[in-house]
Parts: sequence; structure tokens; C-alpha cells
Amino acid sequence: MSTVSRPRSQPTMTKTPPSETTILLVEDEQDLLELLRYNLVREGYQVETAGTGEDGLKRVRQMGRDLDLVLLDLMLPGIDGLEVCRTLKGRETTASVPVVMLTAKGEEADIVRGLELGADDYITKPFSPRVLMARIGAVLRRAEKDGRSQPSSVVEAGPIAIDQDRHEVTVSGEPTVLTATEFKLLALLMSRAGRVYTRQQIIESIHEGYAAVTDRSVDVQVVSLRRKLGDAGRLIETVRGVGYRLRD
Amino acid sequence: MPDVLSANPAAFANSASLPLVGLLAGSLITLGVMVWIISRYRKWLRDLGRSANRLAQGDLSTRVQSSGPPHVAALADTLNQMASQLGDRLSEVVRQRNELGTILSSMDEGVLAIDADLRIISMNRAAAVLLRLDPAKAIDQPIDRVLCDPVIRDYLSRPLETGQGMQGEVTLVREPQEDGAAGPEAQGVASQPAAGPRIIEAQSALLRDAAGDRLGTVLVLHDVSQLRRLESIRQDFVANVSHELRTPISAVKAASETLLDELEFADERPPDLETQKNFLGIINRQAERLQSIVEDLLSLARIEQGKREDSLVLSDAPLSPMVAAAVETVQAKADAKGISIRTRCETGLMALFNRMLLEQALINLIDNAVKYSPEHTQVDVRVWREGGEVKLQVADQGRGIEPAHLPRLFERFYRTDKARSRAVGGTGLGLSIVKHIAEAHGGRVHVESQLGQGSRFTLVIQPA
Repeated sequence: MSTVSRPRSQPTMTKTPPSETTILLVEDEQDLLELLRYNLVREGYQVETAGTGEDGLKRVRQMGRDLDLVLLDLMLPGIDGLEVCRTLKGRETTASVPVVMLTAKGEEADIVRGLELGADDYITKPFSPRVLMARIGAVLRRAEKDGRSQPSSVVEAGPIAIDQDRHEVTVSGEPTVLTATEFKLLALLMSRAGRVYTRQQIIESIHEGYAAVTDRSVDVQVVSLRRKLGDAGRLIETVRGVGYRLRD
Repeated sequence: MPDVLSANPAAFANSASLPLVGLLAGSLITLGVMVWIISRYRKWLRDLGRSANRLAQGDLSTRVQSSGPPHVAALADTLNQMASQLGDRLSEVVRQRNELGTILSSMDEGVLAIDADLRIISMNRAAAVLLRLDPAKAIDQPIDRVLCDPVIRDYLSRPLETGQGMQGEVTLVREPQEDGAAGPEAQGVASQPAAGPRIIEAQSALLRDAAGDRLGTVLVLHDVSQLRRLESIRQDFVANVSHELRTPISAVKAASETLLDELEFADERPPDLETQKNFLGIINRQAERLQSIVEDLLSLARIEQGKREDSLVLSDAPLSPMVAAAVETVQAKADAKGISIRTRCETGLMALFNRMLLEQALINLIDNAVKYSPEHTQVDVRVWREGGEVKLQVADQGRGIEPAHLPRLFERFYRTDKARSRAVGGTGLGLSIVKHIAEAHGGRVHVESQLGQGSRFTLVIQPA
């Protein structure tokens, strides 16, 4: 899985501590809760914890605008993680708070559902605390960028540049001709590099829901898009059992 | 004739007419003989005809009397021979047909055949049950009228169009027949009790005659519901086991990596001894948890294997030493919580049991009682004979179990309270092991519980 093959992030402890960033950690396993809290605090985050879904939602309400990210275990007694995610993403006040799911490998169906409910990223157990910290950092940076920058019509990722207004794609400066569907697919993946999109999310986004499209046809579009992008096509990663993402 | 001439002198008077009379008489006699011969032949032919008729009507035991002149007798013999051969052939055909019928009807697989006009020509008992058809009414009916499942109809009709057989898995949904909507379908549908959806492995093939013309389709249905159900139980179990193992592994990995990081960056940040001790404690605790889970899984597997191979040794023995040993094992833990264990066991009570396993089951029950009871309460262990059974009961004064949990309490990895179970070091397998041990003894285990008043687990086994 991608979590394993990821290169080790550089020692994150040397970075400036994002002390004003507050993370809510929802985990029922006491030992894991303690370990995660220790690692997050060492990174310089403010950490609030909850041991159940009910408690998690209560903490979210209490924290209001101070909440910057939720690290959420999916297997919780009572209200489970997916339900917490649905509630968070369904409320206007909390919909924009990034959610990172903690889940067991082999529970791809839950991951897919979580992503479709709006979760921003996931990490599978057993996990490496370093990788988890890097993922949380990336999600926070993305969220910050989204909140700050004006929506620009030109987005770049590695050698690929996409101009939504002019409907143009260049790879290392060379124009590349894509079909309308491939263009929408690339625009979606590039809109949030690093974020995994499920096949269903891709279908809804590029076909606006009215065409009868299968998972398989998404795969076909991706293969064709990769081919047209040449070497840069490798930036589009398959996340087995879940969907696709653009490497950031 | 000379006698006639000599005995009748009057005849001399008319001697001129003598030759005429002789001729007439001769003719008459000849006629008589011919009539006699013809009537004899008619009788033989009538007999032959009657016998042939009876043969034609299927009475193959008929035999013709081989009397009469040689050529008639030969004909009769041929007819008899034919009859006997026909009889042999026919009984051979009947025998083969019955054999085929018996084989088909005793098959677990459903077999159904249709002709090129999509009419059912034959089906066995299993097919009738699976498709809920009444053979008496469904035979000769077009499939559109008697088969409600469109996929099954497809399996039958498609090969006639494409020339290709079909194979795959079909789910038969057993919905109750709707009146009216079913219309003419209602006829020929057997009133088989619905047993939920069945998963069927279906295979259809085209029937061709010697000339290669399409005669119809034969469909074979194999009910794999039970197989799929067992598969899904096994998959659930594997998923549960891997989840249960993953949690401690996650903690061990996260704790050890965190500790390594601490050491790696010791120059920038002096490692805190208290934190290190804490994380090593986590690793130790979670490793112990892994060990208990693996040990419990192994004992479950051993009990199941013993049950399967019937290799479990049960012997007649007194119960009280075993009960005392079980209580002794848990005593220290009980003392630590100030819980007193009261044991009452009929002296000399014998039962048929496997000492090691039954002791383990009893330990699991007493250990649970101690774990989930508040301090300074009492746990009662009672063993007695009731009717034709021996009962071993463990009762506590704990907080009791909610009724919703009771039916699933003995399932593997089922926990009423995950956090509490982990806090006391439970693997989620203890009660499942008790249940398996009870079953290995041909017995059972059950629970009664009331919130706030405690729980009572009873193991029931056979007396000696």
C-alpha cells in the first residue's frame, strides 16, 4: 500500500511548531490514543482527545472554530467513525474541517465510504507515526492553501499544468490534447493533489451524474489519460481497492 | 364307394346316372374335407391373430400353441420367439428408464429439460423443489408460464438462440407469490415453503439430435447456499481475527517507532525516562494481549479438531477434584479483589468428561465472574445432578448483562463492552471456548442475567 511505499519524511521535529493548530483525536484504544497524542504534541500541535463517537461530536461542538483537523478512528463503539464523519461533513460549521481516518487494512469498503462522505485522507493500521504525521501535515497545508488562495484557473503539478479557463493542458510546456472527459478527470485529480478520489466520486464529478458510467470505464479513462501524459502520467497513482490520486 | 354300389341294387336300374352320382358324391366329400381343412386353418390363423393382437397390446407373456402343420407351427414358434425377445428388450428398457429415474430423483442437483418450443419435458425432484414447481402440473407447460425467475428462463431459452450453453451463479429470491400479478403463473407452482434466497450454481447446455438440430435445453442447478454461508462465516472469522491482531500490533509498532525516534533525536531533546517506561509498558502489555489471543485461538482450534475427529477422550470420573482445581486456579485473583468463592459440589458426583477441557471451561467462567464483579462480592460455584444431567453453575453479583447482548454472548470476539474487556485482559474468546467445550461433551451452556443483580452461567453435561 501507498502508506508503506512512501519515502520517509524528513525529520519533522525540526520544523516550526504549528502551535496554534488544534487537532481532535478520536480513538477508543487507550494505548493508541496515548501514543498518537504524544506524537502529535511532539509535532507541536494542540491535541484534544475523545474515546467515543458521541464524545468526539460533543468535543467538536465545544471547540467550534478552534478545530483545525479531526483524526478519526473508524472502529468506535456506539456511534462509529463513519457516522461521526457524516455528521461533521453534513454541518455547515464543520464541513470544511479536514478529517483523516484511521482504519484497518482490508476495510477498503469503509475507506471508500469515508472518502465519499468527505473525509480528506486515511491511514491504515498498523501505521507508522512518522508517515501519519507527514500525512496530517499535508492535509493541513492543502486545507490552508484552499482557504487562502484565490481560485486560479491555472493549476500545476510537477510538469503538468492545467488551465481550466482556456481548456488547455501542457506537459513540460508542450500542449497535450485531451478529450473532454479526460480533461475533467485530470482537473479533478489536480484540484487537490495527494487526495484520493474514489471511482464513484470521479464518476459524479466528470459525468455530473446523468450518464450511466461504470467503475471500469473510469479505469479506462485513467489508462488513456496516463498514456497521453507520457512520463508525467505516472503522477496519477492507483490506490488499490479505493480509487486514484495525483501524487503531490 | 364299392359298398354303396353293391348294397343298393336299385342303383343298377339307373346305371347310366352312376358316374354322375359318383362325381357328385366325390365333390361333396372333397368339399367337406376342404371346409374341414379351411376351418382348421382359420382356427390356427385366428389363434395366431389373437396372440399377435395380444402381443401388440403389450401382453408379452402370450404364447401361441405350436400345433398344426409344420409351416403353421413354424410361424407360431417365430411369433413366440419374437414375443419373448420383445419382452426381454422391453424389460431392459424399463429397467434402464427406472435406473435413470432413480439416479435423477436421488440427485441433489436439480435437472430440468425443455424442448425447442420452450416447454418443460422433464425435471427431477430437486429441480422441482428449487424452482418451486409441481412436476405434475409443470410438465408440458411453456416455461414463461411456470418459471417466475427471468434469469432461469434465460438459462433455458438462450442456448436455443445462440447454440451456447450458459454457466454461472444465480440467486433465487423466494418471494411469496403475488396474486393476480402472477396470472397464469399460478398454475404449476408447488407450495414449497420459502427458505430465504438460495444461491444456485446453474449450468445449461443445448440438446441436439444426431443430425445436429436443436432439440431443447437441459439445465443443471446446484444449490451452493450452505457452502457460501460457511465460506462467509469463515471470512468473517478471518476478518475478525485479523482485526483483533491488528490492534495490538498497531500499538506495538507505534510505541516502538516512537521510542526509536526519541533515541534518534536524543541530542535535540533529552529523552524522558517516564515516557520511555510508559511506552515500553504499552509494548509489553500489547504483546501479552497478542499472546493470549493466539493461545485462545489455538485452544479453540484444538477443541474443534477433537470434536471433528471424535478423538476427544471422555472418562467417568468424580467432579469435585476438578472443581476444586478450577477454583484454586482463580483463587489468587479473587483474593486480590476481596471476592470470596463459595463452592458446593455433591460429594461423589460422577460425570463423563475430559478433565483438562472441562476444567478450562470452568476456569473461564469463574475467571469471568471474578473479572466483572465489583470488589468484596461473592461468586458461587455449584455442581449438582438434576434429572438425567449434571449441571455446573457459576453465579456472580456483578452488574449483569444487557438482554440485547445475551443471544450473541458466546460468539467469537463478541464483547458487550470493548473497552472494559480490554481493560481486564479479555480476548473475546473465553465464552466461545466454554461453548465449544460444552458441545464437545455433548452438552450445552446457557446464561441468565439481570442488570444490577449479576449473571449465572450454567454448563450442562452427561452424568457417568
